[in-house]
Amino acid sequence: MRAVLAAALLSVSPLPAAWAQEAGSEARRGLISVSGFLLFRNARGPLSYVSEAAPALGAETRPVFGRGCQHGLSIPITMAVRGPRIAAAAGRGGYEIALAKIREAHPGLKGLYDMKVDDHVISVLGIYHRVCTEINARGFS
Amino acid sequence: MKAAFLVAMAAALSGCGLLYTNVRLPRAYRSAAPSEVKGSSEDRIVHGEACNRSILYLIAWGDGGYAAATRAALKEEPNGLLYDVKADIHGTTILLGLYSRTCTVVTGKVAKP
Repeated sequence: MRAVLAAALLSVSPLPAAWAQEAGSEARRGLISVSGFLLFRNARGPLSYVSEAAPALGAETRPVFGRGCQHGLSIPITMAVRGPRIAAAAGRGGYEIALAKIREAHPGLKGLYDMKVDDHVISVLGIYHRVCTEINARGFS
Repeated sequence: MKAAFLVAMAAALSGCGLLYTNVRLPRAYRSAAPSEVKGSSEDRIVHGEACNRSILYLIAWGDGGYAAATRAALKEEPNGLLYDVKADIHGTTILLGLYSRTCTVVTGKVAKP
């Protein structure tokens, strides 16, 4: 019983938290999480953004996509499974960079609506982590 | 042994794989409200589902984000606009998490964009 309880506590990580979010205006920290002694971090993650409502009928619309990524390393310094690690994280993975990329790819956009935001999480052997904020929306001009 | 068990249980509960993870998780969706679109009472109700899966606590994969779920919902009307959207999570776990599936399910009405 104690082991199960401990495992449940250990499982408190950014992944389950990502399932527990609500509407787009909610503020929820999206900073990358790397385990170990954090030697360095200079990362930006999403917090909140309220996009526009659907434009008036007749506006020209198109699908748009943009993303920004944070990267992290968590390197074991012993051979033990749960031994100490050193960690570092960096990158611009917030709304600002993802939206800037959309504006760069589609100059002349007036706004975005029907905005879906996902986190794309990649982790390899628990050593390399990448979390990207991906925006799929419709742009109008 | 106990440590390995704890790590495996933690991985099962968190939905990620110890060796490799490549998943998309829903973060936010600002869908249209009924007052923002010119909907009609004949607008169809559709639903779409997108899933992440993990097996043996080791590997997790899938595209369980909002974008994939709405794409699935609009597969018959790709130019439609979803409104009055309800988003749910559907989790399935078998044998203490040896296999688990977590899906984002969106249900809404389709209006012309």
